Amino acid sequence: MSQQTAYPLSPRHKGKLAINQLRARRLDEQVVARFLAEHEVPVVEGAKCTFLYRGEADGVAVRHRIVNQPQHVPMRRLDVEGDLPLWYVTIELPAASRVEYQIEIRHGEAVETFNDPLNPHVAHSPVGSSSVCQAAGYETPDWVVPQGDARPGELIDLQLPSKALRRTTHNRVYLPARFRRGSHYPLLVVHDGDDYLTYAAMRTVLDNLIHDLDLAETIVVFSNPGDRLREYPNYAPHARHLTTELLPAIEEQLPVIRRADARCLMGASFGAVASLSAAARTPGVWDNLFLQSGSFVFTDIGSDHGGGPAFDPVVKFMNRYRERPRRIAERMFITCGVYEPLIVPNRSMVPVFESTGSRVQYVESRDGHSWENWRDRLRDGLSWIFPGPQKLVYE
Amino acid sequence: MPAEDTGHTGDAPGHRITLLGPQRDPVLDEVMQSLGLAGARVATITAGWRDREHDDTLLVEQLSGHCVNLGLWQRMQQIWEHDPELERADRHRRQVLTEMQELYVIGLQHAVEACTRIRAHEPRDERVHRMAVEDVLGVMRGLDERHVSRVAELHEEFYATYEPHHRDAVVQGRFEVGRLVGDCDAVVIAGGHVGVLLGTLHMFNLAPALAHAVPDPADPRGVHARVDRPVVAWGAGAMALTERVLLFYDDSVVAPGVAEVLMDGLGLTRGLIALPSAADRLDLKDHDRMQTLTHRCRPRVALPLDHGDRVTLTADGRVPDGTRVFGPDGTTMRYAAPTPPASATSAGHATGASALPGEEGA
Repeated sequence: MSQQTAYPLSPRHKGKLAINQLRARRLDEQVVARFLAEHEVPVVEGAKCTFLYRGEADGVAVRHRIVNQPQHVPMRRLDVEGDLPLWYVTIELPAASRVEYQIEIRHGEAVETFNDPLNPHVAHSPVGSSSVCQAAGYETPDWVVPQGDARPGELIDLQLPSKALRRTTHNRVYLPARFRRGSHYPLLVVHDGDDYLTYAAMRTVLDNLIHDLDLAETIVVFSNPGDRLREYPNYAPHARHLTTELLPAIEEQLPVIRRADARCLMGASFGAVASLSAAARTPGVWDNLFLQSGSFVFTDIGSDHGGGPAFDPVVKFMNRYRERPRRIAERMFITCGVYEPLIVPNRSMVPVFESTGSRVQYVESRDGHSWENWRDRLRDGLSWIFPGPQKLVYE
Repeated sequence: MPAEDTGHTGDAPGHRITLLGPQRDPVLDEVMQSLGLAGARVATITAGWRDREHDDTLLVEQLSGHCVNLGLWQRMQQIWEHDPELERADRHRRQVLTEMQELYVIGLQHAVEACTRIRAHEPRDERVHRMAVEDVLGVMRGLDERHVSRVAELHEEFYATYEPHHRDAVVQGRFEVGRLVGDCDAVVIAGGHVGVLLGTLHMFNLAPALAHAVPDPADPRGVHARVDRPVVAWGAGAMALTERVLLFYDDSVVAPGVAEVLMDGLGLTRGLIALPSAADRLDLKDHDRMQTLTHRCRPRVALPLDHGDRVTLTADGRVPDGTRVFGPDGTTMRYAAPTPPASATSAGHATGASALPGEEGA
């Protein structure tokens, strides 16, 4: 079942845009410095977002990451008396969007791309960081920041020698506040665990969601890859490690519910592929999947996918699966940003998964392939996979 | 007994049940005083707080220290420790209940979706459209009824198979709890996790400890319950006292929640479904949703218990006239007890008739 995202309308901006007011003036160093001090960059006015860059160049552009849009947007130059020029461009963005971008400058033939020095907001993704423009209506959810009354869970290191992977795996185990050995808990295994903790504030999110009764008290294993591009795209030893090494070790040491419906594999990007393929390789073990911006690249004709060698095993796996879809998990929560290229395969796979009898909840957001996007969808996904007792508690 | 007898019926004192809104900013002390229970010895039940059951300092303060916490959750843990077979069986029962609830809700969600689509249909014939809405509401009521009866069957099977009432740990626990209640003038049941609370109330057989049966020819069971001492409850505590527990939370994270019947409660009240914190938990502006909710509650009254609310039931456990309730159109109205017709049936059994809230006998 797809859930229609209820986006807010962009607030209307009345009057001249700030950049146009500035252009009407004689520009000198003081005027420009004051303008930059008084405005957050990009300057967001209703649906209009004005990007700025200050510096000498032959050409400057915004290079954003919205799929199916011209991603190279040239900026205009404003000369400043006795000082460096100011470059600007205004782009219209739908409400609640978060758009990743960088500034590209050209000196002759030389082109350089970097994060916007005027914008402190940075988004992290598996391929590095980029600046992020938060359009009107976007608000950082309050449940991603520490709440005073939410009791923190405990995070403990778990090193586990793996014969399957021929290395020692490094995991962190989250135990919810008020953890009791006499109780039994659902188990969530998170791929790219340290990144989820570092860039998606997942420890804080877990504390808050459990405190708010949105998420059941859950034991969470944050697992980490060795060679990610080898282990995550449909790698048999990885699936074997999860099911025959990690799971038994957890079950031996911690009071987890020993049933498939109380287990979930989770991951983003290649981590989503790792979750999907591991569950497919060990049917009946993992009945829940939480897949974020899965790199579910496939081809309808031939094998030329354009994603580079790292995607070869993914495409092989996805093509084979699409030929003979079968139920991999009882319940699947899938999220994807509409601005990322992976929106096409993710949208395409939803009906395929549904056709197998899985219960699928699919959520889109006006966002990109970044940890902040995945962070912002955690409440939706986790509370659907392992709902908290909110409905049962009446104070 | 310092309890004020406000509703005598013959020689029997008419102790009452008082239901309150949420007690985050507690007014329990004022309520107890107004009920003539200042200084009374009170048995408290906070099992819905689970492992925080004894974090009851504020409650003790509100009752001026004249109280004893029955410690039902803690006692339940002790029973599990002493009787692993019963613990395993009960855990299995809870797993089955959870699965039954999940599957029932899947059915409900589809019925809700159908109801929404049918209501959104632009009618070419009003009568046909109305019938279609009634049909799908009937389907939902049918799901509710079947679910609650299957849950009851499961409980009966559990009690018949494992006979907790014959097991030492349970017998001992029930005896101790019964004696503690017997030594008290009133009982206070706090909110919390309604499933846990109901589980402990049943295990320690609190219904007969709190009330006795009174012959009542108008009731299909031939009896109704009368409490033996004043009972004050809120949140999950209020829900547990009623005949049927309805879970509701429209503001759920992923999709609009659908109200779902959990199970029968202790049945110490009649003709009402308690909706604690209704204003916070229900989308009161969505009249279609509210109409559906009140329709599914019928013939019982949907009783909101919001901040500041205080409803003292009649001696036979009914909603008194003038109480704020949800009417058939989903908005709040003042309750007026209907005049029972000659062929009256009692609350507690959905008749499928187009009864207004409170028209249990219609």
